[in-house]
Amino acid sequence: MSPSSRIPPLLQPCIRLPKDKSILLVTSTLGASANWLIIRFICDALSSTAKDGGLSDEINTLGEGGVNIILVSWMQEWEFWKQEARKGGGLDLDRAKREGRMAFVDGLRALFLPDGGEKNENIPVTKTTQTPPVRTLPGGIPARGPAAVPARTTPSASTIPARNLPEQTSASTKQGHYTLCSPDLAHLKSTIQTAVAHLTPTSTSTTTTKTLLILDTPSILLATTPTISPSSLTSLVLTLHTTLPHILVHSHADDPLLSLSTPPQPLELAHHNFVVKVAHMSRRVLSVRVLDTGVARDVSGVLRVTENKVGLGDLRVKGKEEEEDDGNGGREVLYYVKGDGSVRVFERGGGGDG
Amino acid sequence: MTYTAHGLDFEAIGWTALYTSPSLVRHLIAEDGTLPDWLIEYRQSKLEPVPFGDRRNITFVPRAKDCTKWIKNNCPTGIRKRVPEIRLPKKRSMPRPLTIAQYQGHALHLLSRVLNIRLNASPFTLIVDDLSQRATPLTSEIMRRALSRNINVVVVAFEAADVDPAIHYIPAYGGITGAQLLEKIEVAMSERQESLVVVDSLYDLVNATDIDMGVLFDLVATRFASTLVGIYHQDILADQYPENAYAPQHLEYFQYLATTIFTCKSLAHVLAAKAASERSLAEPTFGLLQGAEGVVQCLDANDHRGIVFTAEFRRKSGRPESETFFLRETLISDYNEPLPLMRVGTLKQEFAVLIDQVPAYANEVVISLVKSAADAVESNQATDDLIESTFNLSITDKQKEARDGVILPYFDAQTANGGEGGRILYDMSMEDDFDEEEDEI
Repeated sequence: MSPSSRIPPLLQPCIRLPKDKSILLVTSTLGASANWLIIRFICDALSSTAKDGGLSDEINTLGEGGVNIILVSWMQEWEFWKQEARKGGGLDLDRAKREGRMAFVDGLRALFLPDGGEKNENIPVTKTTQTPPVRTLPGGIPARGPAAVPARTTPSASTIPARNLPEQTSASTKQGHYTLCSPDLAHLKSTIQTAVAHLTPTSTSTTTTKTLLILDTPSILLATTPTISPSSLTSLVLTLHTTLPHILVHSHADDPLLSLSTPPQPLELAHHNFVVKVAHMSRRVLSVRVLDTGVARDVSGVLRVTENKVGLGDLRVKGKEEEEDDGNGGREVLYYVKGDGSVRVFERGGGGDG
Repeated sequence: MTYTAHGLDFEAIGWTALYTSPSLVRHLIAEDGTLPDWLIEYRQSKLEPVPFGDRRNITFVPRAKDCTKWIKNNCPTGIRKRVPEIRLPKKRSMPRPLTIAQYQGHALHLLSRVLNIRLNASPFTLIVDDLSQRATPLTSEIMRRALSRNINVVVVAFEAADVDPAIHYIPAYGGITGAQLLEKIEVAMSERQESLVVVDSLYDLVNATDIDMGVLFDLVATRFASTLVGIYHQDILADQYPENAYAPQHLEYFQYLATTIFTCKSLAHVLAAKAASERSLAEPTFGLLQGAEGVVQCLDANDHRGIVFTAEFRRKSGRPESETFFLRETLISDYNEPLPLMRVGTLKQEFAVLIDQVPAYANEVVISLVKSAADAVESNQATDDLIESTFNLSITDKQKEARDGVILPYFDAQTANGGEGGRILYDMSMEDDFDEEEDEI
């Protein structure tokens, strides 16, 4: 099965990258994980070298160049993403990494796992961590702990980096695999920049290489490192954005993180401000949440897509001739993640095979 | 006023010389001591006091006519009626426009002065937005108009990563200090005589770089006589530090400083709110307030038709004026062809309108929305009756006719001779069984 056929047609316009530079925001809740959506983004980006459907016209005009991917993950490991991509998207991420199409920055092992990931990769994750083990339920929805859970490991975060430095050097020898060993933003920035350097240009004809940077739950840094403010995090996103045309930020939007208790707690404030600010900066917001009416057997959740078309300082005006309006920007679809990792996306009421 | 007669210019006369030697003008007076006519005329005109205003029209209204009214005296009738005091018609403090056209013209004039960055129209414009409606269509339009008038546009960006090349872009993210930022702004502004400085997040300006708003305002508005436009996202929550618990919130401070405040709303939300208020329903809430977990932005946010904003103009006189406007999406046809070396041509015609002039707001759409909502409610009620009741509560046409035919007693009592009193009027029908005993009770 070709990877692009794994993307349902209704989802296609939502995950197609916009023509110009853009920041995208994906939000999820505890009950409705957005990992499947991120996999579809990776899928679309990596598969866009193939000539058949699933690629935006803009990328086609740039020659055969696809989109390179840098995945920075604070909540999941490489193993998880590899399996999810194989299951959901039919992708071999290891091969993509070897080919220089993809780079992975691990923000979990060295920062938050007690053993720093020195042992064999597969075993310790479920055995010794304080973070909840990453498993995929039969329903296909990965179970995951709330964002606040790794906060408990904060003391270890400060002690681990020191003894973990050799690990990083060994990790960087592995092609396209990088490990964050400090929650420091400057370190994150330099790591991502080395990762960019690792990626091979996708096409020889064009000078501009399209790269999609996926930041999976950077908001965890707000919880684990109180010195990092939301605005410093968003400045980092913007600084990276000057060199990387597309940035996808995945963040949690659970009520306890967004709505304030009285008196407001610093983490609530920081998380709320981070999500709102990225939403203000982003061109498209994709929110995944559970069904409002409760749990259903054949619906995993609701995906809401809203667009902000006009950027600040965007002086282009619309002529009468270019009428490419796709409704009023926002729309909602239902999705169902099956046990085998495939996803069905359909309109409300359209529960048939889609 | 110069008074000239007989070729004499009285202003040109050296009066000091005249007073010291009056013999100079002795010849003007005749032998018999009479003055020439023109001199008398001149003296009259000088002596007559210049009427100050039109005093005859001013009537003083005493609070009480005379002091006698203050003293109670027993009046023989026992009822003391207050003598109505003469009141002038209430003098209106400000002239109000007479017709709707004048009123619209006035409001749009105020708005287009601000949008077009006219000199001194509004030195500091505050734009308050949120995720439901971002300020970007409004700021883009302001920048476009500024560029069309060849004004230097400087963007201090905390959120925008790239802007149009015609705009002077100052990235303010990434650890720049306040002093450096001010210096950059100053350099950027000194290029041209008139500038427009846009700050895309005032919250970050104050929080991240520690620039005092007063300093920036002083730099932009006072030293360069330019315009400052700042965006404040309403949904970003201010930090609460214990050490500044008594300090005003940033937003309040900005609102205090601003000379014009725009508050952005999505057109779809304004329409929905109007439909709700016409049915006296509670206004719907949007966005983060919606209450559904995981919802960041509402579906009809950033309406592509245009942007609705409430503007509060603070005039120099201190008088605030507030109106709600609608700015539709800009089209190429709104601007003339740009001249060479210019990014934007001149604006053809002001296309912002008052919200009342928007057809969707003023009439049919809203009314149809209201109607459909009402129909939905009514049909719900009708079906509810059918479903929830085990009794048949409806009546047939024949039953209805019979009910209408009943003459109630009070109709009879209203006839000329008083009718037949409280007698029960009843026509026996076939199946009725007259019961004597019952009637006797």
